[in-house]
Amino acid sequence: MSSFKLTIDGVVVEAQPGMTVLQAAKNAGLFIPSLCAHDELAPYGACRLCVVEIDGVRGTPTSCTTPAAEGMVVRTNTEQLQLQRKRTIELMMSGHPSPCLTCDSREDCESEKVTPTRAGNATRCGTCANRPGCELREVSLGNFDRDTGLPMIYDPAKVDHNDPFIDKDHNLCILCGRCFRVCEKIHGKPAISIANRGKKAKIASEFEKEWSSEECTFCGACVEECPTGSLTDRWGKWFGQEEKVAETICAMCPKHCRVNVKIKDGRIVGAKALSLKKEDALCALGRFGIPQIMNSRSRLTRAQVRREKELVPASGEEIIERIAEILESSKGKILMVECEGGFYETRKAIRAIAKRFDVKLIKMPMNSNAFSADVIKEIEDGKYDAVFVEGNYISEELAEKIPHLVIADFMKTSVQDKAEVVIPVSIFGETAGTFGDVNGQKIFSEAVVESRLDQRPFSGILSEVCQKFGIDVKSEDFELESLPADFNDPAEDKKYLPTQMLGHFLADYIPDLQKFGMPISSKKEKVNASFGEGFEILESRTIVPNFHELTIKAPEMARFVRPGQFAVLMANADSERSPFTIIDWNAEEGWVKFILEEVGRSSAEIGALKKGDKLAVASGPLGTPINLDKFESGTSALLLGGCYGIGAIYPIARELKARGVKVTCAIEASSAYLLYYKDKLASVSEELIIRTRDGSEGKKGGCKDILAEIGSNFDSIVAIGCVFMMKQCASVAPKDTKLALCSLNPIMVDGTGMCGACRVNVGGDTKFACVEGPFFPLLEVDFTELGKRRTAYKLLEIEAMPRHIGSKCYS
Amino acid sequence: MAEEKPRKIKASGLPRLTMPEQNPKRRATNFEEVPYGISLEMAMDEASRCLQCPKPRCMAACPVNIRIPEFIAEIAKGDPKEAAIKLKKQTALPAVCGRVCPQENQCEGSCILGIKGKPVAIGTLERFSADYVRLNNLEQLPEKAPATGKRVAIIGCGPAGITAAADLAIAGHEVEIFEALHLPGGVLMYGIPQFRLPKEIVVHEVESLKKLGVKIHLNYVVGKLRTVDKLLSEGFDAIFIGSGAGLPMFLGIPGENSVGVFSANEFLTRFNLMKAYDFPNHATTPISAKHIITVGGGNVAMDSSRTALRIGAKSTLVYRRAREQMPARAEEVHHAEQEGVNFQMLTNPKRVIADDSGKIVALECVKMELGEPDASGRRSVVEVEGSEFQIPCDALVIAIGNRPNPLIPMTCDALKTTKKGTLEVDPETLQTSIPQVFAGGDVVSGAATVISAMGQAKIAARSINKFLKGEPLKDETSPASV
Repeated sequence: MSSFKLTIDGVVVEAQPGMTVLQAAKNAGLFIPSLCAHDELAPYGACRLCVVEIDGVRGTPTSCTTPAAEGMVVRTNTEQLQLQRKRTIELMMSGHPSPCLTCDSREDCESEKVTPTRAGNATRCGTCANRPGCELREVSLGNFDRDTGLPMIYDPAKVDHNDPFIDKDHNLCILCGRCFRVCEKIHGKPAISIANRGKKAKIASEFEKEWSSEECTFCGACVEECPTGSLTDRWGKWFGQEEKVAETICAMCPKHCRVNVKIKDGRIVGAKALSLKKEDALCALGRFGIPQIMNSRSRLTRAQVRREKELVPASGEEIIERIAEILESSKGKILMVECEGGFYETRKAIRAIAKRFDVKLIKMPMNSNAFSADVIKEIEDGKYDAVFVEGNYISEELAEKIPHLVIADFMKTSVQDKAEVVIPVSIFGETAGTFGDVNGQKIFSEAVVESRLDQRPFSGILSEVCQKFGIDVKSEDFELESLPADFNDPAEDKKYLPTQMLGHFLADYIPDLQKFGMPISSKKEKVNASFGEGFEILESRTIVPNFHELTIKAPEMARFVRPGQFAVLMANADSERSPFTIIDWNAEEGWVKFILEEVGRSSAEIGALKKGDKLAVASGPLGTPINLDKFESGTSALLLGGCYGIGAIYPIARELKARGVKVTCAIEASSAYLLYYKDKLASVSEELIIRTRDGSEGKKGGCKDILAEIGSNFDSIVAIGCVFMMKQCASVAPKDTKLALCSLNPIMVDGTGMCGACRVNVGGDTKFACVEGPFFPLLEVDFTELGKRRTAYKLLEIEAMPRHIGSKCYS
Repeated sequence: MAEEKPRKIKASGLPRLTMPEQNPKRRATNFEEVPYGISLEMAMDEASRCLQCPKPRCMAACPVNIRIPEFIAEIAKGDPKEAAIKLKKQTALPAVCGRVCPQENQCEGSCILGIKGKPVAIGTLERFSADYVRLNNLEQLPEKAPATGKRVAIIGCGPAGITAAADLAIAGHEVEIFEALHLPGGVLMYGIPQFRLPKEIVVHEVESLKKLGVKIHLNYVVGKLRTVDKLLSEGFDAIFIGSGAGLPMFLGIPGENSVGVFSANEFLTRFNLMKAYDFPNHATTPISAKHIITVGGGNVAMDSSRTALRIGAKSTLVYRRAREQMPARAEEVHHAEQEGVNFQMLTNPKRVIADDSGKIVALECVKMELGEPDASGRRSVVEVEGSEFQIPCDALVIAIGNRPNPLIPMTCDALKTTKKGTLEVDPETLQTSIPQVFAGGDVVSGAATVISAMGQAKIAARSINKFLKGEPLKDETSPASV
């Protein structure tokens, strides 16, 4: 059949038989918004964004399900269609947390907060890991304005961290069906589909069981194709969009799959299949394991040689020198280990060296972790003077029996302390090399990222050794193994996942694998220093998503705290010291209360503590309390609060009211479901003004708008919230207000004036916010500097987050 | 059995012991202690070098006047346990002093053997005997005097506080320490790095303090919780303030608030107290930089520049004077150089250069030259005009000194301070402007050494003892100041 023509928005375009209207338009470079449509998936017609008008066709069909036909006349952007799309998006958004999309300050805010806040729940784009790559956001930005009056539904219970590798947030799901369609395409029978109907509809496996207990192979294609942040890669999601994608080969099992890795800042932050074809499907290790292995903090990075009794960092030349010495002195009494499935170049060099020095050569199969009993016996009997091994196959006891032990490895182990030479090796992706494909044909893989410190390919070291002795490596050609007949593909079933790589248990470094029953090595229990008794948690509740109200027993603190002070808290012995404002207290009953906003590991760890648990550290009250004497009785005060500031203004309002000050509280939140303490604040103020960024409660806007409208009516102003909110307030605050204060929250370590991490610039002078603050004149603070200083540890803070099941943040 | 005459110890004339150390290249990549320690035989050989002077100059030079020849004699006899008992009577922290004291200016600097040859390795021997009894569980608690019923509050659980607490507990008083941080030890915990003073030792010393009955309140910021006045009105008969010098000084140069510029306090606290070298097992974020510049020439600057190496960075030390004028302990300077710290002497920072995101990218410096000696005899330095140059870097650590934290005097009006922010005390008794309150350590002297803080704490403890007994604080000849 030959191509035909149709008209879309007045343009005559050519289409091929079998094309849908959407495809024909796309083919011709015309844009029709769509979310559920996918080039490689069958039409589905779920999102209804691609609606068009076609002459002679009733209603507004979805272009993704309508076959293009000769002579069709299609309109894609009429007023009627625009309105229809807008309503569709509005309906979608009433179930998708989207206040940021209709916030008037969105662009300013996002240029200030370049990356989303790492909160437990994605309650808005600002706390959604997928903000940078969200297709829903792209389609809807500027195309809707929430004027339908539909309530915004948000349910924290719809967030699910129980499965390995994949975070599921059903609040974000728009039921486009891409996930289960792609699952079906790759695996034939999909492991997931839509369960329930209406409001309760969600993507789930059969009977809503955990995916890990079902057929799901964790190939991750659903995560890749999800147009929202509904399905995300728990480990990698906070790194944001990759800068580039490069192809390499995974060497964790003999299949040697080709895989696309995602690269950002020179490191691998994710992986995905080359295509959605069944033959390209990855296993859980290929999709989720690669970046966790490569970026592990346990990677071996220093080359070392034993000098007298200690291992000393050494150069490449020293390593080669020592290896040469060992080879010569131990000739005839050497054991070398070749790893099946390893780099062809490495194996070739090992074989060549083995021939020259009369070496016993053994071959270790992939997915094994110990030598055969005969070999162990031989070593124990002292048959070998020297052992050369790549990987973790030797126990510490066995190492004692080896006079000259040369270990090459990609991870640190304790047995390395007993070696004479330790060589950190780069692995696939970090080094170019050759593997065998399923038929034993040689396939070449490029290096796509750089190695760290002394890491180099083992083959490089060995070939230099060969050069030194004039050994010809080239002639040492051999046939690579083809895939064994009994090979079971882990991409087809997760029970076939290899549990080891070069003798290391993979689950040691990829903890989520334990959920599949994969073993870990027995590790020594870490003993944490005890800090005395700790502080009992009397109550802990989530008041709105990402905000925790915590009440602890701390009689001394309760006795001395004054409004505006904070305390440094640590959830556990290994936590960070982080400051949090004290919201309420009772000296008689001996408790103090905090509002914690989840923004990363420390706050999430504290938020995860339950009633009866102990908080390791609570040091306070710290900081200088707000000077209440400056607010005279009978005068008026406007207290502005956003985020944690909603709670932080409460004790100030209460005290001021008691002193006869006319208090007006004004609070802002992104959306109605993030507002809290309304009754509490109303009870301590003459008036409570509410603004939401999406207009879902009170007028649309924020504290800045309130301040601009009525700020000049007040004798004093206090603004507490995120840096952006306070910066906005400062930009509109009346210049002649007698007293205008803000409360700053920079990074702190000790909180007592010891470290200076909290330095802020106020009116050109450097101040320590922990001692001289937290209150400073609103109009004199350099908020731009503060904003920059607060993001100093952005990347490390992502790494600090425990991103596996059962970690302290996700209990 | 005939009574044995005490064995006379004869000086052996052996060469001075060299402490085995981790290879510099190796230790620059780890946080383990630099010296390995010595065996009993090695210690006995070294102890046998001591001449047992009748008027020991070493003892006179020790800020806490340890009877050095006596404990050395015990080691020479092969009895490190007895040596430790003797030491513990005079110092609460022998394992610490043996490691961090500037012996070359004190005991060893005055050793008579040092005139012609090399002094006895007193620090090493002190460290050895303390380690020996600790590792072999042979420690004995000093005997406590009967309870006096008096209560003493100690503010700060650093070297001064620990020393005062131990002495006062032994004297029979009820002692409670109030420590602001979440771990006891003060600068021993947050400041001095693991590779110089393993934290297990500090923990151990604090444990033995607890065994003496001393109660430690952690996370207790005096001034923010109870003030000095409150402590006195709520039942304490006397107070010792040993709150140290914890307020970092900055250079006051443009760009100093750029991201990547740290006080040495912050830099060291992250790695020592908060164990950022074990990130992400410990949540505190480390400083990840490729080239770290440290400014300063004291021990803290050495600790910082050596820590910088250990986290994998290139480390440069910038100091405005010449190497001979560096106030750091000789061994630290030597160790830093051995490990690969690049010294840039006679160089003064002028300006921090940052990129658009506010992150430091270089330090602009100016060359300095030595001028005429000033009144104190120290040669002044002057800028070489037009010698400005830039050193690219991605982190800057400022280690130019600390002042006392003003938190306590700020919340106690009766407590008088000097212009430098230190507490005003009677130099002889260490009594402050409040009769029941005494002070010692860096809060009195400004940033100094662990041992001088301990020395002062001992003096203050003696004064407190007298004060609580109602005795005059000064000798009969001079009237008590109470």
